[in-house]
This record gives sequence, structure tokens and C-alpha cells, in this order.
Amino acid sequence: MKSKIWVVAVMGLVATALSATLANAQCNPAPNYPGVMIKFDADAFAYETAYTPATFTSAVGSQLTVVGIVSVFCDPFSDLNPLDPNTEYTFVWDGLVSQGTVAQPIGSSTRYTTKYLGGGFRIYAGTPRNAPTAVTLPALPAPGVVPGAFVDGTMILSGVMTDSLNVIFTRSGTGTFTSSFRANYRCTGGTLYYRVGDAINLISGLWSPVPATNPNPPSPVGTTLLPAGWSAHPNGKWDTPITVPAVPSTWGKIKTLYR
Amino acid sequence: MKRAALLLFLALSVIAVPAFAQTDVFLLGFAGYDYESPNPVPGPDGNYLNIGEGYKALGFVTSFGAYLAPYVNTAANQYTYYYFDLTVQNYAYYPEFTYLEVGFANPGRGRFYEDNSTPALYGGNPPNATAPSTFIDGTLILGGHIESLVLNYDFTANQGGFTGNIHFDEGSLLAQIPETQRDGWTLSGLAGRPNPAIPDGYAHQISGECRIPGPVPAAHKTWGALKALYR
Repeated sequence: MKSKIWVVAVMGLVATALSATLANAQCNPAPNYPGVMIKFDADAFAYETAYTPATFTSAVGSQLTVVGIVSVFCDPFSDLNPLDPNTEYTFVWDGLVSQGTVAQPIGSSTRYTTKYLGGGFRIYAGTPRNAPTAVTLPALPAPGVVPGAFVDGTMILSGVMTDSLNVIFTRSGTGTFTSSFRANYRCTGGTLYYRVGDAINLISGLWSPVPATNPNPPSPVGTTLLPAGWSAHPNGKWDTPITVPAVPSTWGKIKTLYR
Repeated sequence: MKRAALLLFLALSVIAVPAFAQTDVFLLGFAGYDYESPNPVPGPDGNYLNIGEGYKALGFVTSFGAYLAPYVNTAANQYTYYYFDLTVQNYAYYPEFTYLEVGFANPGRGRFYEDNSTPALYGGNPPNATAPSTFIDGTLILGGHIESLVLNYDFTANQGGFTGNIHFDEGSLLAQIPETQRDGWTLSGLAGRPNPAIPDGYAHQISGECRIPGPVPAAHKTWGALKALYR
């Protein structure tokens, strides 16, 4: 019996190791270009201290926080398994101060642009897996859970947004929303900071706002219905800093970061 | 007695009110790049996605939601996507805002593949020897026609997005999506240059997801209507 348990345990460890290694089959970057380093998909959510869903506006001075669960690790973190049943990789962005939303009519559409300054991020490896997902997300406030369950464990990486986090979404004349966010970042600390250093690169992706009637339907295409208190669902990634040793680069590419 | 207990249980089940009425669910996430093809009038800003030009996007599926996760193996396989047959039909560029809005003719198509033989490679200046060919080999696990796709782009902020409807109608995993939930959506953020991650010939980085409608919510019923089911 003990030998059977030992064999099963070893097989489990081997399976986990294989998952961690082969999971970066989804990471194949273009040669000589930095690819995705860390990705988040379904389970990332934003909230603010002064956001009005009915008008899609963030007030000047509103404090933005984003929490989420990592879905993919690529180089130089491809040894980390985001699906590890015993380790949950979560993140938080905070310290982001809204400069106020500018709503600009353009043709039959309306573009909503918000800049946030002063932000930073932290990524954690924690156990058990206790952070809410899209299916279990609570309404806010959720003391002890948000952001608590996203900032527990060992801080493996931290950093800052070096300029502004720009959030833009557009409501078309037909009611459909398109959206995006973009910021430059550099890492500043964490137990795995030595793998990336402090070179600057991009964090970007989709920023799907909650509908005007949130938490109630309808939810126009491009918006995301979330429990009360949340403002948006981002889906995005950190790109690998181009000076990470595994990623060759050219002087021309480095210069493009500073234009 | 047992029948009464069962009926009571069912009655309590259908009148239970969920704490939060989620209307759609996550199907899969993706990341990659987009490019113009055909692109008879190349050039930035005002020449991007002119009427009649083609739009393509490809890359990797980065995660799967609950419907598909039991049927994929990301440890053994590479999962890719390809959006194609998208031709610009409507074009509006607002130079005072450096803002572009385009719409595409219906239908386009989106496909998702599983492969464990040939690594998918972006290369440069697509279409090329590896793109899209290495992204569309293997098993077609899911596909659908794309309609009402809209793309917006802000050339000052160097970011934008697209949103469209995708109706799933093919693929080895199609049966894992209930027929009543196959009219979904695809949406993505775009990040353009300056951006050191974009290979030559590609326009933007993409990060987004596909969603499908949630299950039909429990409907309120009267006791009489419930009893009628068992007569």
C-alpha cells in the first residue's frame, strides 16, 4: 500500500512538473521580439472609489484598484504553473489616481478616455487558492476578501506604471463597446525580480466596462455585467522586458521605448 | 409522500433567486497580433484599413473557460486562433481626434486549433511561410462566423479595440457548447506602435476573449404550473 501511495505521489509531482513546463506552448514569441510574460483572462476586475456606471465616468481623484488571477506565465517565469492546485498566483494594481474621464462625441459614437497616474502592481504566490473568480465574485465592499485574497502569500514581483495608465472605451452608435488599456511598467522588487530587472515594457489589453445599469441587465455587447461596486473587467498582459537575458534585442527596438 | 417531497424540492429550486444574474460566461482568452491582408494601399494612420482591405488576427489561446477546459490539454498541445475573411465595409477617420472607426462586411470567420506537431511562428510581414499556416494546422476544435465586427483605434494614444458577434458552428468541441449558447461575442484590446513587441509587418498586439451567453436563468413558476408537469 505504501509503495502504491509513493508511486501515485511521484506521478502527481511529475504530472505537475510537466504541466508547468509544457504550459508555455502558448507562449511562443516571435524570434527577437519580447512576447507575453504574464497574462490574465477571465478573472481580473477593477473598482474605484468614485466611478459612476450610469455615465461611464471616473471622477478626478478617484482611486482605481485592479485585482486578478494569472492565467499564463511565459519566459522568464515559464516554470510557474498558474493551474497549480496548491499555489494561486494573484495580482493587484493600486495607487492609481484618476485624472477624470473625458467623454468625447465622435460621429455617432462617444469615446471615454481616463488617465490614471501613480500606479504600481504586485504579484503574489499564495496558498490556498482562495481568490474569487468571475463565477464567485462578491459585491463590494467585501472586507477580508477584496483585495485581501489577492494580496496574500509571497510577493514574487512588484513594479510601477512609469507614466499613465490610459483607459479608453468607445460606445458606438449601435450601442456596442470597444475598449482597451495601456501603460508602460518596470519592475522594482519581489522574490523573482532578479529574473527581469528594471527595464521598461508594456502592459496592455482589453478594458470592458460594466454597463450603465450594473449590476442589472441589460449588458450591451462589449460591456461586462459584474456584481455591485465593480467598474470593469480587464483582460491583458505584461510583456517581457526586452533586456531579459533570454530575449535578444536591437538598439533600435530599445530606442522605441523612449520615443 | 416521496412524490410530494420531490415536488416541493423542485418548487423551492425554481423560485430560488440567484444573488447575481450573470448574463454571459468566459469561453476562452487569446493573445497575438493583427495585420492587414490584402492591403493594396499600405501606410499608417489614414491609410489603415481602407474600404475593401482585409483584416486578419492570429495568435494563441491563453486559457479556456469551464465549458472547454475538460476537453483540452495545454500541457501537451498548442492552441491557436485565426480570424479572417474580414473585409472593411465602413470607414470613418476623424483627423481632429486622430480616431478611426471601421466596420467589416458579414460574415468573417474565426477558428481555433489544437496542434502538437508544428510550433506556431509569427515570422515577419505576414502572410509569410509560417503565418497563418502554422496557426491553422492541427485539429479545428471550434469555429464560427463573425458578424457586426467593429474596430476603433486612437492614433494618439496608440490603442484601440474590436468587438463583434461570433456564432459557433463547427469544430470537434462544438458539442461541448449547448446549442442555446452558441451566439457569442469576441472582444479585444489593441496596442500599437511604438511597441517593441510587434514583429515587422504586424499592426497591433491583441489581448482579448470570447464569451457566450450564460445558461437560461431559473424561471419563476406557480405551484399550479409545476404540478401540470407531472400530470
